[in-house]
Amino acid sequence: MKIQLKNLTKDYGSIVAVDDLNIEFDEKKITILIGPSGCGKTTTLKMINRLIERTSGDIVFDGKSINDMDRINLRRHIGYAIQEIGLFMHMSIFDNIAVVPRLLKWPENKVKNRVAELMDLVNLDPDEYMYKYPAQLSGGQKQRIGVARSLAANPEVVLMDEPFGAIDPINREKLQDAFLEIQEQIQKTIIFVTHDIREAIKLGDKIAIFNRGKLVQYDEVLNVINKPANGFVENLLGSDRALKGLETMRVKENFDTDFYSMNTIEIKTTGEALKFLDDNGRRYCYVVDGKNRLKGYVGKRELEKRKPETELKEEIKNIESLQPYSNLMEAISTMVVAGLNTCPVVNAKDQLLGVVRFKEIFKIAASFQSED
Amino acid sequence: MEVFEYMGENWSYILEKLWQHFYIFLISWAFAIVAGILLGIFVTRSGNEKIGKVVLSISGAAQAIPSIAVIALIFVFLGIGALPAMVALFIYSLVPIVFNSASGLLNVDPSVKESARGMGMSNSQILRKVELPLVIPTVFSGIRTAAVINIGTAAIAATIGAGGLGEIILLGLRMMSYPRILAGAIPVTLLAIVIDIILARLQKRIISPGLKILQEGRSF
Repeated sequence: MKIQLKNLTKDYGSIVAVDDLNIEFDEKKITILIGPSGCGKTTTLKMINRLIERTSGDIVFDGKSINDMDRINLRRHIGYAIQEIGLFMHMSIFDNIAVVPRLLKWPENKVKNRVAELMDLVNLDPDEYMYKYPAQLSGGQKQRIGVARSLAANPEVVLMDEPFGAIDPINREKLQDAFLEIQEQIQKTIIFVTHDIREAIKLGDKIAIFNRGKLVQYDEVLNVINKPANGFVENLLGSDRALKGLETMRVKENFDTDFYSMNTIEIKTTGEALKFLDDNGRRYCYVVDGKNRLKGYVGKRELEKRKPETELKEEIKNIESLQPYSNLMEAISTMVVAGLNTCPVVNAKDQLLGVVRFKEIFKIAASFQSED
Repeated sequence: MEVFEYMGENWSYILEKLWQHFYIFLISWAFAIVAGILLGIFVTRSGNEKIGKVVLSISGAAQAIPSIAVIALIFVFLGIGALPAMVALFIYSLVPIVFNSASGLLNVDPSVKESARGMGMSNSQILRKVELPLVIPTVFSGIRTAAVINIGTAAIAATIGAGGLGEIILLGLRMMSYPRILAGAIPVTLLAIVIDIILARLQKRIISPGLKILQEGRSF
């Protein structure tokens, strides 16, 4: 659905929260609204589903003015997720996700299928969690349910107001990665408010930068980084904006999947592992289980101390891994912290997909700097 | 055991008074539940915030007024009999129900209401599907308090001609007859205990498991 904001203005008496705003949002893309607090980003978002009524101007959905739409019906067809999540504590996870489909009077078996599908999408096992209550979930799990709920009735447009803002940094990155993976599947028009520039760069296709109710710059992420419109945007990006270019690039376009035959084995005994390493002339290799899930790595030196027929267990050492939607900045920092030259890449189910090499990222960073 | 002798001889009289007692309790309490919840809802709707604050502070303070004072006031305005007594009991049980409903509804997390509105619930759907289920624990504890104080106060209301078990107690006091006093006091106590047990069971049933988990702070 195409959404246009035309001369959109909101004032509270003498205070102008949003000032004569004109934006056309790209369909099926993530547009980030960012700026300091009080810049009008949240007000703009809430005017789109009429939680806040505009003072003047218009919002147009596929050529149809918001004036000609019923407020309640409009909201049922636009997904909405907020930082505080706002789950209903008295309802099961199932009932929480089912709210909008039920408001739209979907038949109950369709609702049930949809809830299970969404829980799969956000990676929470439906059988285990469907009939639990929000109070039994962790913060990150609740936010996944919040996202699932906003997608429940399959809206074309989803509004998100700092949905990951209250999650601790480690889980936030995981949620962001998962969110990008979800978006690739569902292809919604998403309008996403944040005040975190890193989140904006990581998630956004386009960024709209706000200051004091006005739109300062609206462009694709890389263009914003390369050509900040003014000092305000430069400030927002921070001094390391060249490196931030790496944040726009994802592991999934830059990892090596052809490592497989020589690097990984599904093995049972120490002897098999040693033979594998010798045959390929290597000192280390990754270990996966029968479902290709990464278990860790083994080193030749440790294996040689064991009897060949013993089953691999404590020799397997844990290893840091990345996800396809992690950006290259995260990849670098993970690899530096863990002291790795290459880092395995796994999907959300922990299945090994390939490896990222430090050298490759460094090359990309260098080329990026020279463009700047 | 003169008490049981007395009760044995006068069982039909005692049963009649027990029924009367139960009846004035039930009617006044039921009206208080309906009126209390409605009033609680009304004062917490947007636009009524000012009245809400006033009602909340009045009902908060009113809980400290002794029951005998309420009964005495009603006697001054409405005279004696079962009806004035029921009015007094109604007013007295209204207080905890209004207080708990209003404070419960005021404390519903604004972000929960915002997400409900953002998903396209109408005001009445937000009230019915979100706010009320969330405040059931608070409202219900007000209803339970109201029941227990209502049954106790109904005994005192016999002083203005309410009838009920209080009548037997009053008569016993006047005649200095312990068997009579006890023949009134024991059934009143039992009535209050039985009603409270029934309500406790009911409370367990109607509160969502999700809220119980929340209250107990249990994570799994």
